[in-house]
Amino acid sequence: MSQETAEGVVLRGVDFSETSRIVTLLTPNRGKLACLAKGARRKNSRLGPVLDTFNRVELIYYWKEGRQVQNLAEASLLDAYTPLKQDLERSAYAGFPLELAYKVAHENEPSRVIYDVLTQGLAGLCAWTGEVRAHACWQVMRLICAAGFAPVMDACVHCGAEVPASPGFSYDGGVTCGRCRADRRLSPAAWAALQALGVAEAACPRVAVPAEVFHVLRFYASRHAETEFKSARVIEEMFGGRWSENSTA
Amino acid sequence: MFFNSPAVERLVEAFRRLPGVGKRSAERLALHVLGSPEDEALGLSEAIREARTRIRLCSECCNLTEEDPCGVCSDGRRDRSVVCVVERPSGAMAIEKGGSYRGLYHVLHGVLNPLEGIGPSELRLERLMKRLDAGSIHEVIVATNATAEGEATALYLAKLIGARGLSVTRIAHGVPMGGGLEFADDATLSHALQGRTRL
Ligand SMILES: [Zn+2]
Ligand SMILES: [Zn+2]
Repeated sequence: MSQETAEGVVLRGVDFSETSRIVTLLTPNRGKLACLAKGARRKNSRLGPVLDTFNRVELIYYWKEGRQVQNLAEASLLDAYTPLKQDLERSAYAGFPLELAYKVAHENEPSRVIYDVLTQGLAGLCAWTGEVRAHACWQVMRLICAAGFAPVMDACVHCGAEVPASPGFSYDGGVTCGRCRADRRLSPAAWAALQALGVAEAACPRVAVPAEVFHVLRFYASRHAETEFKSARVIEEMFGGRWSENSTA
Repeated sequence: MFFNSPAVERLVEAFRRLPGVGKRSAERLALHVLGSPEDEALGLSEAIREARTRIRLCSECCNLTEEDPCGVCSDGRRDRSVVCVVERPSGAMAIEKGGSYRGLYHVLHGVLNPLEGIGPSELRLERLMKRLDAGSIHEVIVATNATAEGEATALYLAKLIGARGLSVTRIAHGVPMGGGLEFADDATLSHALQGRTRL
């Protein structure tokens, strides 16, 4: 057993006992890391508020190989992303990148790229003055790329043909020419937005991002992470923009 | 466990589902129950059965109650113009213990938590909105926890209730009584500063 120090983002927490919580964090070197935070539920605990969801923290824990849950020794707050938590739309939308990071990162596996995309995205969303959905979609696109399943966007994913202004989209791999098999058709606005999001690496581009794009990214991510995204479902419920599969097909 | 008994295994399994009870403690509890006098052990099961079947949700405030409406909702001396919204029954219990609140409650039985798939439709909001529409409530105090999820829930309620023209307030979260500033963490302090009130 050795003591380690790491930076991490709190992805989720569950109550473990009357006085303790198990929090799962994303760390650059250990990937997804579950820690038992003893005393975090005690009255006046200093640890409790530090381990709130979204928080970027510095943690000290005792690492033991093969153990599913490590013991947390200490945690201190680096960034609470307060502007994000004090805005309903930001706070809800930020749940999707967080859940995505949770589902694509692995335990005990370096995840520096995913970590950087997640933290830069959360900080970016705090300062963002444009449409919240656009920023969330951009961050989700960046995470999808960081996780290694970037959609093919330069030519039809099936036959390599040029794509029209309103191409098809296949959740298995990316855009299609319109003749090849696809899960849905993209409106010209959605296709333009997806392209803009796909190439913008440093910051969210100032483009209009229709609700359709969020929906496409939700199902694309679902297909590749092989799981349903609860946060994306709730976000669509809360902020409308619900897109049925056949509304544009 | 050392007996080869499905009945005992079921009991251990049942104890294990309780919060904070691991396998070892569950076995210890099961052994204790098996070793105790029969009337005592059966008394425990009867107490659980009785409490569980008698306690339900108050049709007004959704708090746990034996009588419907609950003691608070049916108490004529309470201030019926104020309702305090809490996440869970334990929140209402904590405020009652404080002794200074004389209004009514509403228990949501959860908080908005997109990551766990909990949206507005999973909370007991419909009943709250009906109560507000009835017209006698003028102020809603949101007493959800000072967590990201509690905060999001408060913001959602503020939007929903504010649209009805009612006053919505949020309880201040911050430095505990008797707690020196040097012992408060950054998160608590920043919350306390934001929730400051005029003196
Ligand atoms: Zn094709
Ligand atoms: Zn009641």
